[in-house]
Amino acid sequence: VTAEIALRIVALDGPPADDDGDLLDASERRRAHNMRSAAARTRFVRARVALRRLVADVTRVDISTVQIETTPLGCPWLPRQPDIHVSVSHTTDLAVVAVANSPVGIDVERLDRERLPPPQAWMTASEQQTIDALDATERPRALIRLWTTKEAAAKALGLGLLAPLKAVRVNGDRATYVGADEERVAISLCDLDVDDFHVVSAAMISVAPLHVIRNLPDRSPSSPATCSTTG
Amino acid sequence: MTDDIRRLVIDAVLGVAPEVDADAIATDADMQDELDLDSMDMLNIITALSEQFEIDIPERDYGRLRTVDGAVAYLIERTGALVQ
Repeated sequence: VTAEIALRIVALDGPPADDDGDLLDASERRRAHNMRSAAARTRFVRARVALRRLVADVTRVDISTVQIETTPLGCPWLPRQPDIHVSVSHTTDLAVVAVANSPVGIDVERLDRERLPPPQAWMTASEQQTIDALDATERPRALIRLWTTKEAAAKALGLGLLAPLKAVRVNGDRATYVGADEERVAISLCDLDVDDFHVVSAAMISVAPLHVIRNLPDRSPSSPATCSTTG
Repeated sequence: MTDDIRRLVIDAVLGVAPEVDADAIATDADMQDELDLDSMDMLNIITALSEQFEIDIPERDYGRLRTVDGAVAYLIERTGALVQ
């Protein structure tokens, strides 16, 4: 048994399509309008449109009927399709959108990202030891990878962008979230190889291994799954 | 005191995002949307404020620092509590 995630990766450089803005609803257009940075506005619009298109393709509904709201903690959700779960992440040049039938989280970072927060702000002692034991040449990528893994897990938990990352304890392709009341949630993880410049991680509230369907073509059967952690 | 703390919060933001125009920051707006900051930026800002004010900012309080005004109110509350 596997837990499936449909995922699409979209380059953000280049001009947006003419109809991108038309695909957003009034609240999304208002949110985009309020962003001071034109670059941020473009990224938001293109990522939202990509998510809307993926939802329409996976669930086989007309794109105009897809409604995306945002929780108070900043996580997107679908009020008209409450059994479908979504996540979105972007860097300056790449967006990743995901759709699944269980709570899902996705995160992308550039490998050259600098100034990670100090370890004690987001890593457990065990995770720090694991990172410290690595060869110096492996450490930068492993740090970014651990960050994206925790961020993806936090998004799957619905905790948003200011989540308690130390409460997400990563162990290989599994993580456990330990809440303030000692509640524990099992999370499955998947690291994706995209290119030489980005790291992408996916997470799902599930005990089953993840099966990630990448770059699902528009309106066609699923392409073969590729996931670095499933056989 | 409020203005001093607001200046320190904005300095912390500029330390993470030096390209931001300090005079143009809407202090009641969500920093992530308004200033195009992500979660890593926000955690770096929170860490900088924690060091600057010499207080521990628990993860459960992070949501109160989403805006400059929210961060100022939080820091006044926390530093006031320390004075008492």
